[in-house]
Amino acid sequence: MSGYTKLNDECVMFRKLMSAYIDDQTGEAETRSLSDHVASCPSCKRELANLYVMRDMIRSSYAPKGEVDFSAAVMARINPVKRAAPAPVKKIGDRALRYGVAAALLFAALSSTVLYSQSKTRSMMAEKRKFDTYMVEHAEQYAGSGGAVAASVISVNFEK
Amino acid sequence: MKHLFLAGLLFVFSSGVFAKEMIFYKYAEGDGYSVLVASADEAVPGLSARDVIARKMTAASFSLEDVPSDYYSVKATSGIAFYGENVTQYEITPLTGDRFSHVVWLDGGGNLIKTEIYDGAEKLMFAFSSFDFGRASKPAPTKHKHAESAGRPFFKGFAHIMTKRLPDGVTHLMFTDGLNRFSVFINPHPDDSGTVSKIVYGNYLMSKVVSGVEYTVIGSVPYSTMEEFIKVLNGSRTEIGDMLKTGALITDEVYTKKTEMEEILK
Repeated sequence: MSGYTKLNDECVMFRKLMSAYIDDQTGEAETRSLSDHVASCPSCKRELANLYVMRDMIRSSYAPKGEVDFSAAVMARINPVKRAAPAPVKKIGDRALRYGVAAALLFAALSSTVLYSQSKTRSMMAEKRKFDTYMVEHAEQYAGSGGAVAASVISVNFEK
Repeated sequence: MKHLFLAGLLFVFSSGVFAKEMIFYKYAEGDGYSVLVASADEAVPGLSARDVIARKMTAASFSLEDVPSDYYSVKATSGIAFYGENVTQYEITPLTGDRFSHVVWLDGGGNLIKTEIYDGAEKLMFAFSSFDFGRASKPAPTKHKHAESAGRPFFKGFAHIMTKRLPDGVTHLMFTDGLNRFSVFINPHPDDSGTVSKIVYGNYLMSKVVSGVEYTVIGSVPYSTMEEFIKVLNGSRTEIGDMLKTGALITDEVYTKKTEMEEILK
């Protein structure tokens, strides 16, 4: 009913090798004996497949994602900026000039705030990805070649 | 609707989950905690990276023989009854506040039932418990050992056990005193992230740029130990670099080499 299967000694021995195997860290003899065992043991074959899935999942979780908006560069190439003919100079009043300068300064301040905020967010995301990668690496080596337990049943998150 | 959900949950637990070996994890993350309940039977696809990390962290086994008496006191309390098992509790407390304390429960056969790790302020950092509710007998625990054995300690009883080069030029070193472990990631091309200290997956993390090199330490030691370790590592970086280039483990010989080098340069 439960689906719980007790592993024999041979399976236990080979499961310890699996983590090293998928990282290409097993010797020739170990690789051969593990391959032979997996070919004849459906349970270990499934376990090995699951480990590959886990490895790929971790890699994909921490793979850098595109952060740069390439569309602007692409559009710039598609629609090169045309040089406009110099416009006739018009005289403008002092007040209009002051308003214009103030508006330009305001625009510049807002733009730089938005750009700073975006760059800060990108930098924080990059930092998080870096530390997450380190954490996975630490956990991988912490576990070494031991312990292939698992199956998430319930996963919850709560604040203190 | 709520009753239907509870009935469903009860059915799930009564029909199969408790018939398997159950694993419970709780670990500090930022200001809060994350909890995971899992079955130790077969892996299922679709696990989050967080779940995978939690399981990896509990995959390393415990052995009382590895706990160095120079750095820890051990208090054993036997005769604790737990679901018909006679459990012994070991409270392993560091003699100085430079590493985390552990509480471990072992059954009569030496199987690990529960582990709790606390930081210096007695805050729970990581809890793991495993019990087979449907077992008739459980196989003897397999003691995990790292492929590379620990050499002489390098820093406060912590021995270097592993070196790994990561693809982006970062070097990963791992250290253990037999109970607590930490990793150091050395990045020679740091960005401008400055000093960071936070709690991730039940571990302390500190990242700092010193002399143009970024050192990130992750593990079960306090920030003060991490900071001190970074200082020691950076202070002997030439000698350590030379040892690592030969594939050797870093030992306290670094200090001798450093003194010799200083004498030569005088």
